[in-house]
Amino acid sequence: MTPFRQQPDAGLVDLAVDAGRRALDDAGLVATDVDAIYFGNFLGRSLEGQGVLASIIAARLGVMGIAATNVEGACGSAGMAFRQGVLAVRAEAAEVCLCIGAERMSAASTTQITRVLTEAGDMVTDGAAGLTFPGFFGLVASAYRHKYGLGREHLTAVIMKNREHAVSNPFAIFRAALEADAIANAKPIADPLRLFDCSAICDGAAAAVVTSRGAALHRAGPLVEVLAAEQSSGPVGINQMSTLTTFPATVVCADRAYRAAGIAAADVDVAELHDCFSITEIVDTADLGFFPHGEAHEAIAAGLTRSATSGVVVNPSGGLLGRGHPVGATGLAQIHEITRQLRDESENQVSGARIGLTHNLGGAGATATIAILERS
Amino acid sequence: MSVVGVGERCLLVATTVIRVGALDTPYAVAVVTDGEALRTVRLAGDPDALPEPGTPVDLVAAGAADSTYHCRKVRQS
Repeated sequence: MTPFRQQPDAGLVDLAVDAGRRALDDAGLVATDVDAIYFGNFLGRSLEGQGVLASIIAARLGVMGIAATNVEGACGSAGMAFRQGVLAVRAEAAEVCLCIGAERMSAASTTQITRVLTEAGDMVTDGAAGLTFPGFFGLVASAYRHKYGLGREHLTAVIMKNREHAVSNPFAIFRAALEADAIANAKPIADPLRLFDCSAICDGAAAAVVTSRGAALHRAGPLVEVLAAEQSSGPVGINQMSTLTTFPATVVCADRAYRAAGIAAADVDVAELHDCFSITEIVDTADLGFFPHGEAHEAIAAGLTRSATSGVVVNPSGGLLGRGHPVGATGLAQIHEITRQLRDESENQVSGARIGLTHNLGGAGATATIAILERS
Repeated sequence: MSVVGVGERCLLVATTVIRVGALDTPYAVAVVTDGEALRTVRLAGDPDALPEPGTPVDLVAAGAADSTYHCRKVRQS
């Protein structure tokens, strides 16, 4: 992957090609070995006015004539692109798939970004009421607070953990830890969420090569096996939801992924989950089954998901809050970190990690993808 | 699924005040329920004087032309 930074002068295709080449180098392959490209991106059409990006990227990599497919699922685009690569290999439709996610956001104004991100929600109902994306997650935090007694300290604990984890991650946009006072006094964005409760608008790309076991065996380094790559849809608008304190797409997808992998939530050693806002990590942690609903905020505040804990370590890369969230790249940045964890290569290594999980959410829970990877 | 309507007695499920990213002036958005469905509404009035979630409210249209509502706390007898 490329470092996640604010780099408005970097082109979207340049970022994607850079990440794709890095992944191929890591796999010991060249572009002409690739049978198919799946490209995850959300805002390229809205902000750049450019379609057929997967074909443009294939041409820039020097491979014409292969299957090159755009995949869009808002902030979950890259998780979906990875899953498409896994499915193509399993179906023997391709032997080597290059899955790339990229986003270029920082050249646009905050108002412009807020408007285009809102397109991942229901524009007819919630959009008409003036609901923004931070506004939606502000509502989630408000409902959770009323139902389970959430306090500022619980949201702050998520941010402090993830920013601390990001300090050692060279790909992260934020390399400094934060004090609780700075978090509590930051600029309000959408009550009760403040600036550091929100993941950063930035630019970057991430990629992974997915191959059959046979094609992977020539690689000298350790391999990582995909045990499960599942996807579920969920409600888009609030009027389709029955509660704001769980994302049904995650719950259904997690159940499917654990069954496909033949494991339980308790078997996961390390997870990269979708903390687009601090409250989202709290909800995700319960939806994934790591803690019961209504207890995740206390568990996180007690340090049970921190690096060096005996339980599941959550977001050792710093997550979206610490690493940054170029939305269409995030799902593959998660795969990148979990792969490094399972190869003992992470700067924030979870000792003895054998099973890792990624969870990538799109929209207000409109889509979820979960991958479960194992050290091979 | 029912649609929570104007003039109905509702329960406030969640509120937020959107302060950055959309308009220059902060405004409140709430989710209300009639016990079955959820609905998102923009609220008129002082965004910093919102009732707490869990409060029974009446939704009253703030104007004919838009989807903004007053959210009036139900008086307890």
